[in-house]
Amino acid sequence: MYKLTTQQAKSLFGVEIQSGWYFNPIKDINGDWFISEQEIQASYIDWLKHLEQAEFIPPEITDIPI
Amino acid sequence: MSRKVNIFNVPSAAFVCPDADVTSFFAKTELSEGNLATMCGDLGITYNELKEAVCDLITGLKTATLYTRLEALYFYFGNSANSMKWNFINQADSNAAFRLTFSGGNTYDSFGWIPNGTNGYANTHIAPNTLAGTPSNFNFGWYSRTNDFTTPALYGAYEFLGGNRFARHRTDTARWDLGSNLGTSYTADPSTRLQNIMNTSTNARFYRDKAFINTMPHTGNLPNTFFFLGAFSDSVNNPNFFMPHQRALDFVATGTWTIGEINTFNTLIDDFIIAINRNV
Repeated sequence: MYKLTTQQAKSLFGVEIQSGWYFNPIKDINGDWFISEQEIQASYIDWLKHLEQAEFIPPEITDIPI
Repeated sequence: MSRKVNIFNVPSAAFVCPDADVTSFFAKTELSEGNLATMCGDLGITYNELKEAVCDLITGLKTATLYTRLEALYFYFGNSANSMKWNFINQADSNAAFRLTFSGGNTYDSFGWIPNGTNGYANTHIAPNTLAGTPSNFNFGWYSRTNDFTTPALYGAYEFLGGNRFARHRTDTARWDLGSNLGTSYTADPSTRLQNIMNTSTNARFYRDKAFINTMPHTGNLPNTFFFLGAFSDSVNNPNFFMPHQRALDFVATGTWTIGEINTFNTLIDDFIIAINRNV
């Protein structure tokens, strides 16, 4: 996963990667924003290629609430 | 479906399905021989054989009078989001036609699409309550090519805590919930092949690989949030509980079915998956 600033994340919401496929920035357990390698590789947005890979720790997964 | 070996490497005549929906699907969605060459090559079938398999499935569903119950049928042809987004049942390029919208980290390959289990999913734009009204009128299923139990959810949507949940698979209890009913425990291990929930007039029936697993009541309520694939939608249509399973086919249908109709349907779907070499 690749780390984004909040501003970068907000700029990607609703943006098409390719026809029919949209970015989905997601927060990790610390509240930092990330996007996936698949999104970056498929996109033509240049600045994405300079993002640094970082460890993504997903928010604590609890079971779906009853 | 019959397979013919062309030993002379001479281009064979294009297969023409007598069914107009099949013909229009391949034409409208630009799923041409050239655009599907990579997929057909990877699957080890010809374009004609692919079209013949679709033709056999659709004409089989129509002959069995099951076709009109389908609301969405996703074949995931091609190797891109744009080629995999189409709903065969309503071939318009719109949310109202339940054409998929993909988001996040997904891989689109010749055997289906694979959400990454972290932020990838697809929105069907189907609001189950609006479409079906009650759980007893909502049937769905998928063909999974991945055996994985690391994530709690396999499917669905829920609207709020304690009610209007939809279907799910918990890691601890391997349980489906439908509507506002708490679920029935069952084991679908491995989590591969055709898995579906189908309604009869008396209850909902769970199947894996065409085999009946268990039943549960189908009373209660359905959510009006969107039905996601690869994730679980929450009360405001945000995706949660991402799941890394390769999906070779998905469907949504309405109506109550007889057990005989369910068996026929499962056989037709399974035969189709085998015909296009996507079976595991």
